[in-house]
Amino acid sequence: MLNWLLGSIVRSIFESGIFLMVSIGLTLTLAVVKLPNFAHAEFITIGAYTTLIVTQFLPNNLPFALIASFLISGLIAIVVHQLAYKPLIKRRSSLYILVLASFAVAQFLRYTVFILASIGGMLSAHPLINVVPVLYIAGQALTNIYLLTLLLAILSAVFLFFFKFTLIGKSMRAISSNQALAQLSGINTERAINVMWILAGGLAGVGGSMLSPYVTVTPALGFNLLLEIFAVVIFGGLTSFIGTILGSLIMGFAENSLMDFLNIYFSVPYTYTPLIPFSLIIIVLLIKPTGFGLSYSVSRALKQRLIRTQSR
Amino acid sequence: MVDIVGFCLSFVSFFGIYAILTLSLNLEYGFGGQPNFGQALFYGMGAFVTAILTSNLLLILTHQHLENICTISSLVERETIATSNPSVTLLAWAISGITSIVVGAILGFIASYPALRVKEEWYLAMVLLVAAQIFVIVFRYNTRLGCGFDGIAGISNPFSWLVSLTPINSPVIPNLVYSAIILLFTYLCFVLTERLTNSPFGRLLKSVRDDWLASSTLGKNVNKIRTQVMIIGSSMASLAGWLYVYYIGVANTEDYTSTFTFSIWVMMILGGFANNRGAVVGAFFITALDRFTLIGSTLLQAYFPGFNPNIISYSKYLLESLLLLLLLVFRPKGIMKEGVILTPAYRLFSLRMGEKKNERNYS
Repeated sequence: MLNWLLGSIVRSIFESGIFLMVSIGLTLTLAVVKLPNFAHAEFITIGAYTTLIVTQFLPNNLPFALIASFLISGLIAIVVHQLAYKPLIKRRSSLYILVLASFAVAQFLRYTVFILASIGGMLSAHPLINVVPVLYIAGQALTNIYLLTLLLAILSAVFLFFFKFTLIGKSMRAISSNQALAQLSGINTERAINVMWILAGGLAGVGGSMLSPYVTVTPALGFNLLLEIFAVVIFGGLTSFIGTILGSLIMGFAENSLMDFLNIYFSVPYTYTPLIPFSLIIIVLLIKPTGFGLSYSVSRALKQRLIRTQSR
Repeated sequence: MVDIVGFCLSFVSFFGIYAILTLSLNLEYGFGGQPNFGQALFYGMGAFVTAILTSNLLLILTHQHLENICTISSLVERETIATSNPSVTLLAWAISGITSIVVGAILGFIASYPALRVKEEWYLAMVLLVAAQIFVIVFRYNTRLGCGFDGIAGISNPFSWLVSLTPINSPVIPNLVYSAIILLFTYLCFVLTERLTNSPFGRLLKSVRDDWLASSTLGKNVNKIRTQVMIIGSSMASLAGWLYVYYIGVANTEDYTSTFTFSIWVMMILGGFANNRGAVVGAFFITALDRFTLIGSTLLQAYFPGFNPNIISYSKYLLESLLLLLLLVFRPKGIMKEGVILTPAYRLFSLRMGEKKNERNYS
């Protein structure tokens, strides 16, 4: 009777892993450059398409595909920052202008992918990766991609957790609390921000390439996940690391286990699944805008920046 | 092979509707400082209220039994009523218009609740964006509310009965009349926003946008003015939705996604922040881009059958976003800069200055 529960728990954990990998990057962006980057989800699409192209030439070569999608989405993130966001931040544009610019970047990247994919005939495709069941737990098959995703999600979380004790991680934290002061004390802010963008874009790209064997890869793949990622981050309080982990677990379980439950017992159709993250965003923003994470210092910094730009 | 008259009429109609939307967004963001990333919600709500109300009203007013508005038979029924029964058609048109404006105002009032509540204002943008997405999903997948994926079709032009009355017997006449009416409404909206923004209300709006703390210390009710501007802006957007549904004939959620909201933002930023004339100019340019890419893709499809016409429509979105990025980086004020507020005293002042200049020129 509870057979659906096991299956949905397995899927929930997978999706939580994907959400974690993708939204950690957005948390970093929000913490370091204080930018709600709506183009973040496009890195998922780019990662998925990189995997698609790499596996066309080297079938089943997953490690190479992962490295390629990390590097390509990371590089695109840096280019986007240098060309679009940096001039705007330098001019101290208001936060809405930055949000609008990130919308524009998202649309630009998305439709570039659309045009390239329709020229290459890959508007909806599947990468050539063998998904093989490796392990069986209580009758549920766990595939190789599944286990690798969990491993990568945990690794990236652990890596980022210890990353903040390294020199560049420390300089990122310094920039996050006061960029001008960090620059004055001799921190190479430019380099730290570039590293941040590589990590943010690259992790989202890896998330996309791990997602690609399970879904149909379309140019709107990332865009459809955009608000879910924002739901995770907003739930976690924008910049909190623990909050993001918590948020991705909750999102993963709500979108699979809760939705299965609602579908079986209340016959709610699966097409309404996006309403879960949407209502989560609205409820969190209206009731507890600081989120359920632990660190509030940076959301305060965000507020201060807003006040600064408003008073000008 | 390209229908020149039809193209011009569609250009004029789309320009009018986009101009109303841009004016409303400009009132909300340019003057009021409320980042409405959910403009498509108000626009789409006006459109769906119009479509649902019209399709039910046409049948009720002609004393027919009510049936499911999504069936083909009811669609055919509605079209015959629209061509044969002028009074009922016009009555349904007017009632749905008034209702959609009222619904837009109510929605704007509801939307201003988070605007007053959240202090970090990009949260407001997020809430409105999410609300617009919720609207799209509910109307797209709920077959009882909005006929599901296909949308509510069969909303004919309210002047289609003119076809049988005129000697030419061509559908151009009702389209011409309806385009003229759209332009009339655009002009009315322009006059309304121009009058509003050049009044004490407009000055208060600008002061709240620039520094809400200062204006509240001067005894102004900041929350009230924000609510008012959201109500006016969203009822204007709903008005545009009403006009659009009668023009296009179908209310489909595809037209009210966040991509469309984004193009309204492009129009506003292109034309000029807090400048009503600029908003109209920006709407004109983006309509031109929109219409000419459409006609370009049909032409290309006709002459090169192997060519994928979607690429043109994709590149339209690409161009829009590129244009916005370039504008934000290199010319954030848009084509027209934010002007002064034309108070009576300023008018007198500029008149005097002009006279003095003239005197100097003559001497």
